[in-house]
Amino acid sequence: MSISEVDLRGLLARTLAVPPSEIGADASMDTVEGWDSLKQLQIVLALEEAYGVSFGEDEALDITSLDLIREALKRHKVQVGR
Amino acid sequence: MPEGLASESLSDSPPRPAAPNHFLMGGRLSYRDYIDLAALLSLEASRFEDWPEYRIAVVRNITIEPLTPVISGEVMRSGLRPTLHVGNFDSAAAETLDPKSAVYAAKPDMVVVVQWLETASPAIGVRHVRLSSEERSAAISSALAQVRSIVQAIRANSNAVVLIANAPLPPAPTLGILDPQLEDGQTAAVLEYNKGLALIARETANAYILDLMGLIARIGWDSAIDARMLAMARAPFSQKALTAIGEQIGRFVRALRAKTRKCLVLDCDNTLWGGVVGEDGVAGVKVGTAFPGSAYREFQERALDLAARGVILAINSKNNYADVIEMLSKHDGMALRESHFAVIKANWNDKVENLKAIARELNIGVDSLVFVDDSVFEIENVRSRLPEVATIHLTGKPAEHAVQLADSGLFDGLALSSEDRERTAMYAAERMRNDIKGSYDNIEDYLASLGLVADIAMVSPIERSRAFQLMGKTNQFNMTTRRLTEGDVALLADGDDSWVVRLRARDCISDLGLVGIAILQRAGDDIEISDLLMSCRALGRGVESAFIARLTEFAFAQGAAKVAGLYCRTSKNALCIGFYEKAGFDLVSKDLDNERWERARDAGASPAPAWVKIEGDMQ
Repeated sequence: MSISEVDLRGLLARTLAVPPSEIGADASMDTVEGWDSLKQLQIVLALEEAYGVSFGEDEALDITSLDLIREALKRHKVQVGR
Repeated sequence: MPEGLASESLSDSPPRPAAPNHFLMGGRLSYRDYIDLAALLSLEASRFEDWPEYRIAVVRNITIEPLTPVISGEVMRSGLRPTLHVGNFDSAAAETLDPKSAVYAAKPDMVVVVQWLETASPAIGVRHVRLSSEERSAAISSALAQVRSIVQAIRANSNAVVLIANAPLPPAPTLGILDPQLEDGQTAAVLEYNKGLALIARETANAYILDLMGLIARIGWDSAIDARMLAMARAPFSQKALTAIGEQIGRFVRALRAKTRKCLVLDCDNTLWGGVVGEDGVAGVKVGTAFPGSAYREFQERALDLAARGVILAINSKNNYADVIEMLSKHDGMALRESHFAVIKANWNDKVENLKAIARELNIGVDSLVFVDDSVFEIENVRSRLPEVATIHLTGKPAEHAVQLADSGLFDGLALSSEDRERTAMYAAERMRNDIKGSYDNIEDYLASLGLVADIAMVSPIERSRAFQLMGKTNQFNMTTRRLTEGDVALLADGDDSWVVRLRARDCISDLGLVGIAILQRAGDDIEISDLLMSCRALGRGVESAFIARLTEFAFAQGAAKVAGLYCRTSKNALCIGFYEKAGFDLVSKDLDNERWERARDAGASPAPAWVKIEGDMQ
C-alpha cells in the first residue's frame, strides 16, 4: 500500500487540530504545539484506522515525529510517497 | 468527512450548509471522522458560534482522552457546540466531593463517570478468585459505595445529567469455564456490581447508565479492548469501542435535548414485505415465518416494539389503497395490522406531500417524523425537499433491516410513561371520536356529549418525568417553549412561590392522560404564568379554556393582584396566538417576539366552558 505525504500530514494536522501548514517536514512532538503523550494516543489510533496497520508496543508511543511515523509505516508495508 | 459537514480548510469539496439534521442521517462515523469534526471545531470555530453550547465533564480512572474527539463530534451531530472538561486521572471521588473543583467550575450539562472496575476494585477485577465469600461481598459493596458517593456528590453540587459507565463482563473469568454458573464466580460479581449501578441510576434524579457491558458485548472484547494501549497507557478502548461509546453518549445528549421523534412512517413494498404487492399479489409477496419473509416480519416486530414505547405508526406508500389494506387485514404473515396505524397514505401522490399530510392529520410537526424506505430515490426526494424529516434508508440485506431500525436512536427517550405505552390505543379512540362527530349538528352538542373532564392539580413526584417529557416535546401549543431540565421542574415544584400544575383530561371514550402543564411563579404582587403548554391531542375541546380558568382562579386565591401570561413566539407555536386574549387578558407589552398579557383581580377568573367538568385538588 502506498499513501501520499499530503494525506499523512493532513491526518496529523487534523488530529492535532492545527492548520496543515504547521506540519512541516521536521514536525515532531518537540516542534508542534499540542502534540503531547495524550494526543499521541489519538494519532496512533487514527493512523491505524486510516492505513489498516497495527503498531507494536515498542512503536506506538515512540513514533513521535513525522519521520519516525513514516519509518514505522514503512515497516508495516505502507509506503509514503513524496 | 461526515455528510453535511464539509470544511473549507480541510477538504477541497465546496462547503455545504451546516444542518444538524443532516449529521444525524449520516449513519456510523469512523474514528477519523470524529477527529475531523473535532478539528473543524477548533480550526473553524466561528462557524459554530451561534450553536447552543453543551458542556460535558468526564471523571475517570482511565486514560479517556482518545474518546474526547468522539464525544465532541457526537455533540456536534446533535446540533450543539461541545465544551469538554476531563477530570484529573483517577480523581473522581476527590473532584466530585469538592464543590469548588474544576469539574463544577466547568458548569457541566452532563457528567460522565467512568470508573474502570479493575482499577476501582482490584479485588473484583483482578484478585477475585483469592477472596473468601465475605471479602467478595464486601468488595462489591465497597465498589458500589464508591460510585454512589461520586454520583450523590454530583447530584448535590450540580444539576448536570450523570452518565454512569457500567462494567464489561470479564473476558477470561478467574474460575475458568465453570465461572459463569458459580454463585461466587467473577461473572456473577460483575453482574451484581452492574445491577447495583442500575439501582443507583434509578434512585438518583437525572442519572443514567452508560452501558459499556452491552456495547463491548456487541463488539466483542477482543475487538473492543486494545490490550496494548491498556497496558501502556491505561487507555482500554479500540477505535471501534470509542466510536460506539461516543455514539451512546450522543444518543443521551439528543434524548435529553428532547429531540425525540414521535412518528414512524413506513413504506410498504420491500420495507414491510419483500416484493411488490401490486405486481406479485398478496399471495406472492414475502412476509412470515420462512426466510426471506422472516426478515421483513422481524422488521415489523421492531416497529411494533416502537409502537409499544409510544411511537405513532403511519404508512406512506405508492400503492393502491385496497392492496395495502388487504395485506394488513388478510395476510397471515403480517405482524402489523390496520389498527396499529394512525394514518395510512397508500396512493400515487408524491411522498413528500403525503408526509406533510400525515403530520397535519396527527397535529405534529414534520420534524417529528421518521421516514423509512428502501428506495434511494424516495429517500433523496425527502432529504432534499423536506430535510426536517429524519430518514432511514434501508440498505443492504433485508436481514439487516430490523437492526438498522432498532439502532437508529431516533426514538430514544429517557422516560417511559404509561401514556407512551397506551398511545396507539389513544389514537384509535381519536378515530372513533371523529366518527361520533358526524352525528351532531353543532360542535357544542358534540362536546357536551363527550362528558369531558379536566382534572387539574399540582404535579406529583411520580408525574414529574411525564411532565418533563411533555415540556421537552411540545412545540405547537407551548406559550414560551422553555426547555427546562428535570431538575429545574423539581425545584419549581418544590418551591414556596412557584407551582407546577398539571392537567389530565378524559372523556367517555378514553383517558387522554397527562396532557398539559403550567408553571406559575410569584413576581412581586402578581403571579406569572411562565410556562403553559398542552399536547395537541387534547386541543379544540375547551379543555384549554378550563385549564386557564382554573389557573387564574388559583392565582387570585393566592392573593395575586394580577395574573400575567407570557407568550414567546417561535417558528412553531403560532397556534398559541390569541389564547390569552380569548381568556380575557389584556396585552400590556410587546417586543419583537415576546408578549405580556395581564388579567386584573377585579375581572375574576377566566371564563370556563360549560361542557367541561373541572375537578382536582390544587393543594
